[in-house]
Amino acid sequence: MKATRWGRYSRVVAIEHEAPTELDTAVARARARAAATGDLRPIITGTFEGSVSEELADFAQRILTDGTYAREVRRLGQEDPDLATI
Amino acid sequence: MSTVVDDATLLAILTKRAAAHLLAAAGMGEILTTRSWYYRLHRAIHDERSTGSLSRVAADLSSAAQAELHELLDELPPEIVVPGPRLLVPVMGALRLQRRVNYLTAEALATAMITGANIRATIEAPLLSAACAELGIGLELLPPTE
Repeated sequence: MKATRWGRYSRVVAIEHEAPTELDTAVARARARAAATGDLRPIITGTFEGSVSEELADFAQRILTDGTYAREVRRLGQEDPDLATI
Repeated sequence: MSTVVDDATLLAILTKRAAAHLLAAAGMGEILTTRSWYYRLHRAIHDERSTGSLSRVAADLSSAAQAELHELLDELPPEIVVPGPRLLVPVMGALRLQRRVNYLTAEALATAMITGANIRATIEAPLLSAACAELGIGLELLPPTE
């Protein structure tokens, strides 16, 4: 992620200077923005304790483990390449 | 450390079928997902044009369970963080990867980069794996219910 630049210096040493890349700068800006706005903080915590019905939990377990959900994801990805797992 | 989860893992978390440590992390606000993965989950469950086995299985649910499922998807728990485009797009646009990735993958990478999180996915994805290695992002490939 770091670009390396070699410089000419008055003393007989070579110092590796790492200039931030465009990506480094974008990430740093995003982090600063998130810290200021709270965009990466959950809206609230401590309410996730609720339960779901056994029927729904069994449905999820089934489609996630028997390949049903994975097949649906492949179908959606063929239909819409921006949703494809690549 | 926070984790960015894919749609299958998100469904396992929402239905409490995920591993205990993921459920605990969700309760503490340490689980993130992306708009693309959230949308793909929503669309997979709701897509009326789907002729696949998922729609048949979902149709067999009782009306109460179907309503419960739709409410879960429509009202994502507030503990689950879904970063918005104002934060992500500048980072997505600055990605200079050896191989170009699609929107879904770029969004996941940007989310992980900004938060310092790992990505947890369920489906082998060569471009995502390569990009994570290139950017130094931790990637876990695990079944959603483990």
